[in-house]
Amino acid sequence: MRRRIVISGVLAAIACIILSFSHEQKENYHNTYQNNIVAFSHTEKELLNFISHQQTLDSNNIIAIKAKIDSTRLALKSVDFWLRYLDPLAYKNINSPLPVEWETEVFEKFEKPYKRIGAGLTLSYLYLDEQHPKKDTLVAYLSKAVAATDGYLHDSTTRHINSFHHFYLCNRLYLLNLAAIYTTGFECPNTDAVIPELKHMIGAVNGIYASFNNSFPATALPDSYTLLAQKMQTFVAAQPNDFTQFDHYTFIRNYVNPLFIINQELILKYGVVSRSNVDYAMNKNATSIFDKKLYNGQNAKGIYLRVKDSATLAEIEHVGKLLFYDPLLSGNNMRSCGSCHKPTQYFTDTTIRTAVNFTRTGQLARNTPSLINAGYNHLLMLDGKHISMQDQGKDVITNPDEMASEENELLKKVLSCNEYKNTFKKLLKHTPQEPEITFEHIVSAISFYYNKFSQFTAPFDDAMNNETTLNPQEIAGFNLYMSKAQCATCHFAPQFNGVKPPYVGSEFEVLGVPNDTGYKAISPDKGRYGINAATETHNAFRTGSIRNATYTAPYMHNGIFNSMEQVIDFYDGGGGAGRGLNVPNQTLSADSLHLSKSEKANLIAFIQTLNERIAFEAPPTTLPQSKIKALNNRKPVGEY
Amino acid sequence: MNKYTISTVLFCTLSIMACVSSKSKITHDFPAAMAPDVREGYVKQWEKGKILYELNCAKCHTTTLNGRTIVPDFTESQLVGYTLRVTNQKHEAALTDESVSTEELGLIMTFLTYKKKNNVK
Repeated sequence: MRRRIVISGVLAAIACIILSFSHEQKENYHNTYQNNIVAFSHTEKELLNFISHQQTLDSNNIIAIKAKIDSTRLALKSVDFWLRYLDPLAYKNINSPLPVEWETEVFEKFEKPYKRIGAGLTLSYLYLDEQHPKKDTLVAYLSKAVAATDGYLHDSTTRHINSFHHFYLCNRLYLLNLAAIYTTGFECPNTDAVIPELKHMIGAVNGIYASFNNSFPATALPDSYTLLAQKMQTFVAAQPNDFTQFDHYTFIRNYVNPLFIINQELILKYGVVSRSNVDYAMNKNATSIFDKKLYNGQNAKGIYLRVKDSATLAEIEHVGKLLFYDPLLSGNNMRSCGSCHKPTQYFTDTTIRTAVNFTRTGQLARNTPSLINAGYNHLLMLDGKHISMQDQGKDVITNPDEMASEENELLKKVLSCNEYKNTFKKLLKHTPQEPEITFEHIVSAISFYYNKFSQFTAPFDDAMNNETTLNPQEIAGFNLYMSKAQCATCHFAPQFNGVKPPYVGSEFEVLGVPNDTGYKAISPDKGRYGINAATETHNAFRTGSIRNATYTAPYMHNGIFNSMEQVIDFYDGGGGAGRGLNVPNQTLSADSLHLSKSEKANLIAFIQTLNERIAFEAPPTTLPQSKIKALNNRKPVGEY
Repeated sequence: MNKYTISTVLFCTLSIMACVSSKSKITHDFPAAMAPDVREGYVKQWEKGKILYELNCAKCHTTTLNGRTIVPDFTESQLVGYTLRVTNQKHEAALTDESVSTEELGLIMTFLTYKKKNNVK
């Protein structure tokens, strides 16, 4: 009896020792987290305290405050790895680039856009550059940041730190942002600080890696990863502090993307599970940042979502193609999708600013967007009116100015053709929730068809995937794109559209695009305002992709510019506001970018590396026969 | 004799089928205060949601008890639409947006919310 007690006592002691060891080990990473957050919070509070003790803001103390903001930003960069991922909403109070942002996140597609009020370090810095800044506003921005930072010490956030899962997801977001925003001046108004902050952050994150590996040996980063991460730190340390001289190209190609590739492998290997909605669009099976599978923007298959077998998909594609070029979809049987989205012109119309309206009495307000890569947006149309490709298709087909069809009439016409009727009937078994053929089936086949032209890659992707390299002029162009030319602060890698990591929303910008090339007036098109009326959304348009831009002229929402040179000159001159137009909410700086002629040529050389090698197809030569005789005179593509 | 056997088999099969289908019948339960036209719209969505549930969820969630098909009564806090995709590892793998669209997930939520509750004994 006594012996038994002794044995169990010894066993209990051993268990305690083991447990305390593992507990101590875990606390290592946990402590790193805790200590870093506390240190950042302390720096923030010091900054707030310093400002609170000033009587007023004047040119003398503003310089001192800015210097303190810069050092607080460095402390932020030590913890950005965690903060940005673990609580994206709290982060908006610590380091938001805008005072107000309207968000429609992918997992909240059915909700109205959310108004997010920003606060924190970036806004404080920008605010100090305004005329007569007030102390109270600055105190309010920073008080919010302090409160938000302390939230990261609550159990609801720290519980994630006790398992390895969050780490690989924080790391994924960190690597994506290294490629997309950390080197571009996005969220960093003092461009002199961009690279010093980057250097600091990479060092801090390598420290986080060591601490993590120490506490989670079973799911540690392998040497292949940590050695490359150290090499990246050495590479960046040797780079100039001027972000226009920084080698963005080599940084992403030789370090960031290879690290991302290993991290993706580890996510699969360790069975990393996300608990966060914001990971939603990310694809764990993507094998590179420049893999078109990186994130999922749209469901191109529509109602045929669950169809996986290639024979059935081929049937859907076949009718989708016929329908895309079939003018029967329009009210007068004269224009098809392909009339404006021309397959020979990158699925846009390069011959006209804005398309002729249905009645041929005038022109539409907006330029025809290319359909290529449309699926990498969460919101479609230039004003972001639609959340799905299928809704977008229905809108154009029934819009009285565009194709002017009526749903029931259209269904009757489509089903009057045996080929359509039989195929859609046969496909019904894949959509048991919809036992009848509907408009949804029709637009789903169409979106599935045209989306296949979005799967192709460009020479830039090959270079980033280490298969080829770019020439010096193209590389110089990319480095300008990422820095001085400020393109990358809105057109984010890898799609170079308005969708930034973690790729859950589409961004809108106010550029002050003119109505005429003489800049007499701003374009009267209210853009996003028509969908979500707010001060910030006046004349705002969804940021498009610059992939294939060489072939998709004319440019801007109203097709006002015919050449890429004109577009670059527009940005170089500070948009509409820079040319004297009254654009109070312009999101583009009104200052000149001071780009030289050769710099502009380099930018264009880079943009040309984003031309994808798309295998286009000829339209069908015949269309399905209809029982309605009059319809059989219609021609493929139509007579637009 | 042959005819007799066939009709017996047929009778048995039909009665089993009838039995199974009556036991598997899942009905809806909308609030009494719901206006008839609103209700009509909801019934349509509910029916679609039911089929989508069968396609995507039933394999793991539906159970059989004494030959009765039971669709679990989820609580309101469990029926959180999009968040469902990330609440467990199985969902993350099986409930991707390549298998169920956001819109469809909404229909499944409608089905589960207005499904008549199981009689708990």
